[in-house]
Amino acid sequence: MQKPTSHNSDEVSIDDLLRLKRSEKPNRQFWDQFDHELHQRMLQTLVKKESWYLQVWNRLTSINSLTQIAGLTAAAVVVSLFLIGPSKEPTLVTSSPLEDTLMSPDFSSEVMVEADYDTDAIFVRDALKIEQGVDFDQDYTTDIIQLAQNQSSDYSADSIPVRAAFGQTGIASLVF
Amino acid sequence: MTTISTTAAQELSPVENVPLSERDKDWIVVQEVQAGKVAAFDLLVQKYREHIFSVIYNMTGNRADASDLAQETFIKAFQAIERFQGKSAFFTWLYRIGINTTMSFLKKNSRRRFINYETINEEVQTNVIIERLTAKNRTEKGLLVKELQEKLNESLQKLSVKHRTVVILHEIEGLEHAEIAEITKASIGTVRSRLHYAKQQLRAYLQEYLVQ
Repeated sequence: MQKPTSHNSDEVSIDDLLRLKRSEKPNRQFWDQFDHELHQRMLQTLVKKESWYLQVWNRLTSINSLTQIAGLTAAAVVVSLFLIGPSKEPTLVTSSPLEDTLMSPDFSSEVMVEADYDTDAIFVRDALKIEQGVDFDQDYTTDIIQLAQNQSSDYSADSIPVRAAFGQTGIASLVF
Repeated sequence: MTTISTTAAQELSPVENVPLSERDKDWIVVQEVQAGKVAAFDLLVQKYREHIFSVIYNMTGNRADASDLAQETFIKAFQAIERFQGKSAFFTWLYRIGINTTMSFLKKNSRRRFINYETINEEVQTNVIIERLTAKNRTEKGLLVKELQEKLNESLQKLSVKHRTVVILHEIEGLEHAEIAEITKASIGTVRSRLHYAKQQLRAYLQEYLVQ
């Protein structure tokens, strides 16, 4: 690679002077330190590279776990809504403010329209009777029937335009 | 230039049964690194560290900066070696990384420049050129060497980075015009032109040391 210096004449050219700069060389101690520092820096680069991947991995896994948690929570809510929410008991619909907030009035009205209130009321009464062993047949039944009758007419009236509106959107076909 | 000590790099060419060129030897080592033998990169560092340091040192005129930038060059090369396809010689690729790294450094630090010269090898005392200059100037050899070093470095720093690079690569590193053209991504004509102009400038700066 390096050209040898020509010493044929007594001249000192610019090339000769520049080649003198080849003599400016670091000593062995310098190179030992250089190698040591270079290895350290290369290791740091490798470590940084790994930590970068780890960071990405951690982020992905954290996002995944968050997604999983969110998904599970959403699934739990949906399942609980299916189990508890679309209850056909008129007493629950009217008396529970929590359920009112969870379900839109329109949707609950849809549910209520299809409910057979008389049968349900009897079913509730029977169930309570069996489970609690308390006989409050007369009063409870009367209340439920009255309430169911009143609401049945109300919801029937409200539900017709609502169903029509759902039917137009196309979402209704998925819901019902 | 030092030879690679790896077994693979010492193999003979299977076709012509002749020793492999430096380029081929480097390419074998590079392929080893690319295959995952990270330690093989050390062979390339040992082979080229002095050349890379020399180029950067002469470009910056600062020993500490040159050390830092030479290390940076090897780190960049290591990080990018997977993308090296062997279309050019490894050393031209490495030199290009080193020069680009140094140019960026000089651009960023154009207003903050410190001179920190490297020690001169004692062998220079017996150099024929020094003998001639000592005889001509009738000065003490050690003093002359020190003075000449300062003048040479100052003169080099007066050149533009592009002209300086070409002079360093040709006159100090001893690279051919074609190799410099490949490294600097310029035509051979441009390299020759830059070299001619740079040497003209240097002759003017170092007139007192020239003997004709």
